[in-house]
Amino acid sequence: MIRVLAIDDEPLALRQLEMYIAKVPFLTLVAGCSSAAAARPHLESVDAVFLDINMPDLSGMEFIKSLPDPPAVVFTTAYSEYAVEGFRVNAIDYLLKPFSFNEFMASCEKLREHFEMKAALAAQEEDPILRFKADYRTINIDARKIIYVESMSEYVKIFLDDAEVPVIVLYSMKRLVEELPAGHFMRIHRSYIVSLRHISEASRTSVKLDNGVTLPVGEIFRQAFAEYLESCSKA
Amino acid sequence: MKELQAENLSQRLESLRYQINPHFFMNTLNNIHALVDIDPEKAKESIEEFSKMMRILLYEGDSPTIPLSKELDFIEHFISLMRLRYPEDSVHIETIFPEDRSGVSVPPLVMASFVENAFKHGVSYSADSFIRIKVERQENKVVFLCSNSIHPVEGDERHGLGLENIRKRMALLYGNSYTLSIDENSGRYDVLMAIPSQPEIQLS
Repeated sequence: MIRVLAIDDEPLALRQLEMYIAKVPFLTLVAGCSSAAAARPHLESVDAVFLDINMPDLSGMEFIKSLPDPPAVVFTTAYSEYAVEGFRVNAIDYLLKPFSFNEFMASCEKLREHFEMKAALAAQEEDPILRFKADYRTINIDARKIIYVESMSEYVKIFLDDAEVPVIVLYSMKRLVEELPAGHFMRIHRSYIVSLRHISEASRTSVKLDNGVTLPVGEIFRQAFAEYLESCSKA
Repeated sequence: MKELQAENLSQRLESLRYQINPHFFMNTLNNIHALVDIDPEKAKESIEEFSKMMRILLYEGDSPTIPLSKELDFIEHFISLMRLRYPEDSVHIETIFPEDRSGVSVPPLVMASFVENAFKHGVSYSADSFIRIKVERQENKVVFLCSNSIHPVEGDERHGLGLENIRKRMALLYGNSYTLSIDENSGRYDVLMAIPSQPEIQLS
């Protein structure tokens, strides 16, 4: 599942976008927003955004440029002059309004390919050693030893299977999720990433890890997690 | 001869360009496209309104004058299509038009271009905004009033060229017997225009 935001200041355009997204089986709409400001709080929990370029206050282009770690983006606009600039900010695709569902679907396929490629790359680097900088030191962590990760505002607490206390480093959950091997780790909550190898019991709504800790599964992560559990039961 | 025709056409297009912004047409088509999925009945209504506007614009947009009733129809359709673009309740639009619209001619799309301008500069998606339009008949003239809140948009260019063009057209039609005053000092934009019920100069 690719979790997405729809952002457009015009109410009809936004509704149509939401309707299109609902028709794509591999997309989950996290929120529809009528401005960049309204979208900001959701950015941590999405993979991609469908973004209108021409908005008052802050244009879609400026919005993406202002983000240190932008999500994958598909621009939508009524004006063709923005196409070139759109690709300059590494957009996955660019949709000229009005666009049909088929054209929209073609962009969604591009999105999917983008994430599949990313996952394939991550899988190649199975079990990497993660390097963090903290207090002028570099800490190396073997991903296999991670049981789970908890966010703590800008920091993350990394709980390891061979240490009593967690390692605390300044890092974003989103970046960490991308760097951890996708086949072995999963985000189950705004605040938690778990190692799938360390799960001892799981239901749709909670996970028990083999160090005895039980964590909740956040609502927006439930479907993806349920799909993962499903795939395990088949295996 | 061909060159002359081409030049003529380009001039006409040019004059249409500053009457109504071409983006309006693109945006309206986009909105109707979305409405087909969301509310087909409303989509149909919007196409009808759009078509009525196009008819006036294409076939009568370059005549010296058109009946007041057509100008007001045009404005009403324009407003209802613009309404599609904004969340409800945040924009207050008030129109007061005369019931008797007969026997009066006006230069085409001059009032409409002030209304368009009011949307362009006066409406915000986030803050409350208003547009008030009043058309009144007095003895031998028509008075047009248009006020809007001011919400400057980035990259705004003022009515400049369009306004100059309007004054030229008005002078051609009415000589000195028209009034056009624009006031933007009081934190809002007020247009007051008074024109004779019929043009002084008969154009063929």
